[in-house]
Amino acid sequence: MTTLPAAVPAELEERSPASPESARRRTGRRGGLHRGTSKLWVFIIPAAVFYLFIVLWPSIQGAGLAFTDWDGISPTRAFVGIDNFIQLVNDPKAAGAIGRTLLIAFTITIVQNAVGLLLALGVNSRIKSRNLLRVLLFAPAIITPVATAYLWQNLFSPNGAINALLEGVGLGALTQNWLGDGDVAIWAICLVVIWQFAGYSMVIFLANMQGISTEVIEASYVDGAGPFRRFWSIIRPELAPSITINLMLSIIGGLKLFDQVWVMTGGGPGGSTETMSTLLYKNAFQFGDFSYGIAIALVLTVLVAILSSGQYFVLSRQNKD
Amino acid sequence: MRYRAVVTMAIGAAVVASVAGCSNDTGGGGGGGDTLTWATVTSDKSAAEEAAAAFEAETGISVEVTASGVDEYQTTTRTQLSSGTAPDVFFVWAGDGNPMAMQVVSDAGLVADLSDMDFASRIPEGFKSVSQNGGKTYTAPISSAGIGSAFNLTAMEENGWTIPTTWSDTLAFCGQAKAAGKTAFALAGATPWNTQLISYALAPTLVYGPDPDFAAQMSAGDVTFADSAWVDVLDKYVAMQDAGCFQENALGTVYEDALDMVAKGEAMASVQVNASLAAIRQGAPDGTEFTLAPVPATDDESQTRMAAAMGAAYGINAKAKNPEGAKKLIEFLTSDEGQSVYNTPIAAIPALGSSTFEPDPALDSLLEYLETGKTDPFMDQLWPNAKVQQVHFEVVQQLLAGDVDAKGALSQMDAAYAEG
Repeated sequence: MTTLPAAVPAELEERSPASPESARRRTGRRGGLHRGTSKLWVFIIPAAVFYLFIVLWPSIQGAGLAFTDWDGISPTRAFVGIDNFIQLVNDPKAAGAIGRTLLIAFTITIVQNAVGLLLALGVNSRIKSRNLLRVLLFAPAIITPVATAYLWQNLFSPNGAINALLEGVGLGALTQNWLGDGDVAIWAICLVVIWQFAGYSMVIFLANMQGISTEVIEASYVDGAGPFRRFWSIIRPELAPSITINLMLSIIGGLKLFDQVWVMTGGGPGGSTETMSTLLYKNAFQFGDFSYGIAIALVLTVLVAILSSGQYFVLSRQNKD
Repeated sequence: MRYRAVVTMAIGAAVVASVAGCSNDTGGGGGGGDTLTWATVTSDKSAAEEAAAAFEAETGISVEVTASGVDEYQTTTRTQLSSGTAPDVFFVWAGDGNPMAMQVVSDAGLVADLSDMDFASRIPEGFKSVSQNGGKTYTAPISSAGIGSAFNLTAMEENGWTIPTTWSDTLAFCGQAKAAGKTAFALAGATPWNTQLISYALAPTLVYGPDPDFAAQMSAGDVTFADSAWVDVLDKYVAMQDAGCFQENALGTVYEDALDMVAKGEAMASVQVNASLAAIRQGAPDGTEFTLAPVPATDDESQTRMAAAMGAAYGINAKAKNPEGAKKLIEFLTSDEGQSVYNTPIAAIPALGSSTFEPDPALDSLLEYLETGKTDPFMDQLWPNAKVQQVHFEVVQQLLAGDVDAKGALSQMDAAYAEG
């Protein structure tokens, strides 16, 4: 191991890029680093301006519509204050949709990540076909959700492939009216979302797993740790960053879920799969009550913000621990 | 110097972004000059395409037809109308009770006044109230539509069955079909708009025939769904399910699958609008014969009525890029030739009549009921808002799932109706 000499020559210290003290002195003397940072900010301006006009400003304008009475096409918009939010509080359909949205979001978050983690553990092992398996398991995530929803709608139809398969293997008792029975349809939708995005979670876990030191894992074998102990005490703490990002992405996706529900059931049968997203869509575009639809959208936005930031707060503390 | 260049670029991007953000013209709107844009719904796509080809040949004006499913059409066209990018000519539903109905778009000032066009004076009396608002004509009626049981006559003959003409016969027929491993009436319970058709087929006989002023009384607040013969309508809907009229898992069946069942002879019929006959025929073996029969709701055949009303109608965008071309298209569609060209491919009936039109033999019953005045308009055309119809879709599914009874279902519709 080399040691630094007690006194570094002045000219070397001045040139040394690794010396924080010298860098600080340089910055302080000429403002070089500070000025460089300012220049970097300039590069953000075009994108920020674009974002402001294309995303932020229309969103703010749209939010304002929640305080009006507007059908979406008339030239007149009457200001009604918080009437739409009062209507929302008293709307039993909205209460049902909020409860169902939370149920779907939490189910998807837990199951999708559990499956994703198991898949990641599987394809991280030294099996021969692991690369092929990685591609196959991730493939559903790159298909548009609307396309997969139509596919599954066909598979789930009363005379579709799933019931036919169950009949074919002698499990006719398990055939279901998958999308026509409200008690089953909600879980069928969750199943499709989990099928599609478990591979996505897997990829994030896998990327994190491949950064875990093999020496530490090998040491655990030497110490006689079993698979569960090894996972819980060594792998799990190392996976904390990917657990955080996966859980946040899943809960946000689950709360905003629209495509699969809309294509597969349209919120039916009888409103049994209605989520906040489908309810806001119906009010805005089918019932001609655009401003009430926006009010539901605002509540959904707040819900997403609260749950995801709360989750981030808890998980980031876990990361530090 | 470089810093200034970057700032200049940022300001330039801001200007471009603001201009893009403020502009209403996304380039997806109406045509102009010798081009015309025309939007319709999927069920009328073949009709619009044939009519557009004939119009182009006659006038030299190029027509770009776009078609989409009902839900998508309503959403997209409303958005285009509010942003000024809607097509020159677009499909409008008759009366009220639908997000793209005549009353809704004319109240918002989004369709042009067509009162001075020739066809306006030829609109049949029964269609005036659903194509006019405040005494002005806003839509051109192109076809008449009816609701009935689309029967696969070939399959019926193969099984030795005849079309039932009374309510008791209907339930008995359902039992016979079920015992033979067939379905009497394929129901597309997973396709929301299809859930309403059996109500609409039964209501003329049970509600609007016995009480022709029922819609006006509802509008005046004198009667409600829940305290009317509408209870019989929904009770009989459930009775059909209990008698095994529908296939198993009907609430999980989509429109296309239900039509396919009839086309293949797995189901003997499906209660549909007449335009669905063309779609059923496409999936059926050559030579299969079909007919659209009335749905009996009582045991007195003479009381049976059908739902029939103005079907396809078109309006001109108030901000059309090519208003002159749009007017020419409406003139063509309302002409003798146009009425025939449009209605032939979809087995519909010209709303304004046509001397050259050969009606589809499958529509004989519907034509007979229209001629004898034993028809009533589609129920939603006289409802005050789009929500009633949507609630109807939902409560029918709840009703068939056993989650609500007829009174409870109709109370939900009354609540939606009361929103005005």
